[in-house]
Amino acid sequence: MSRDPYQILAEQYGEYLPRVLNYMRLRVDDEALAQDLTAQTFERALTRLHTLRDESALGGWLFAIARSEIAGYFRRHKPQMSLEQVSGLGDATSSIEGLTEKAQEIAALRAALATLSEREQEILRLRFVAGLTNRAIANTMRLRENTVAVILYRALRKLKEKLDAQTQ
Amino acid sequence: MLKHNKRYEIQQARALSAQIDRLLAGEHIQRADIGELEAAQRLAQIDILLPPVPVGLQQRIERMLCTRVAPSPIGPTRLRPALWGALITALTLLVLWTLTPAGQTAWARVLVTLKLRQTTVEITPPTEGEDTEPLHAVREPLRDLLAVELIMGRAPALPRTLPEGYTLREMTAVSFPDLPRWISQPLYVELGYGPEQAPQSLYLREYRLRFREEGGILSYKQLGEATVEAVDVAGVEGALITLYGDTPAYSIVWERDGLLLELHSQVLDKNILLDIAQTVR
Repeated sequence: MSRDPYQILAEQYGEYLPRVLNYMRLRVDDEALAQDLTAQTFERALTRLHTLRDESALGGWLFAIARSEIAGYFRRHKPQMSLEQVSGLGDATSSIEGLTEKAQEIAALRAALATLSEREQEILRLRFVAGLTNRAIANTMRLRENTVAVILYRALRKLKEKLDAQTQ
Repeated sequence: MLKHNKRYEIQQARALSAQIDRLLAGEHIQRADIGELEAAQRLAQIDILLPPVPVGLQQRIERMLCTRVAPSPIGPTRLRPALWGALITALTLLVLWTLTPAGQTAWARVLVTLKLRQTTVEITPPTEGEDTEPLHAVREPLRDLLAVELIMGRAPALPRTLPEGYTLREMTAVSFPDLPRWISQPLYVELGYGPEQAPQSLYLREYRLRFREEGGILSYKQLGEATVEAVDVAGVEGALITLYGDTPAYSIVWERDGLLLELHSQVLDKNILLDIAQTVR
């Protein structure tokens, strides 16, 4: 790679910081923890700069680190889920009333996302929150690009059904 | 038939992905009425719905990036002394209590900046209404000076003179588990001195942070009113910090051989404290 990876990260972190934070916010329902995991992601990225292949791979590379950080966190702290959460009927849907419009939309999306499989959720998060392309997601998740496209297609169809069901 | 359906689904999926690419690029999209794309549009709005990056986190990442010295793209080279000086001075020392989110937001409100040789100490005032609870510290008693040496990786600095009756009473390694992982723990070793049969009243803290290591940071954030004055400690510039509480407490901070030392007392007069600091070797 011709450019110094540190320079690349230093120049582009501002673009990726909100994406990493929002990705973490969707993974853990705890703002302080999401911020800590975001900081840890950048901290780890700084120690692994030598593994950044080229500038165009920055997003995929950074989110591979973010995914590794969150996986490490969940290994250390096994998530405890209630039956309602497991069945996709967590607090998000039950407490939507009384929230602001923005908060209602976030809660609705979270609740709908929670009904999808972990792989579908992850692909949607990487596509829409991290802003990765199908190819970058395929590289990050070790899938074929067509597979990512199909999972995305099916996941969005399911998501639409869930969102429609919420409004009825 | 099954194969045909699968091929059709892949085509649909590719077409949808192309539309999503345009959607995320902010371009006009066709067929926004199709269900999948409608869901995609709602999902694409989530970054607007979520709160912006808090200032504290932004500053935390910026400091992380600033304190990391970029490797040379053309391999190891000898940096000019002036460049070394600039890089090392850029490493800011933020002594304890801080690095909490509240402490980070106070970063911008620097009361005074002291340049102690390779170290820059930034002192920030307390913030009104701020949660001033100090970071959780884990204190581990050390058996003897050999244990201190093993932790410090060198013989500990010790005062050659002490007030009458004072002896070394306790050695403690102090860690702060909530600090970022790249800060070596224990953060410092504290040597507690005092007269026999009385509480300890003089502390020498030796910080393990080495400023040529990646990411030296800290700032000294006092939790009450304070004044700072420059003092000479055995030929190097140090800072005498007076903390005003019910009774004033004093801290002298200075750097010796790349390590930060702090001498603190709530009992001894500042002149006595300064005399003791002069003898620390």
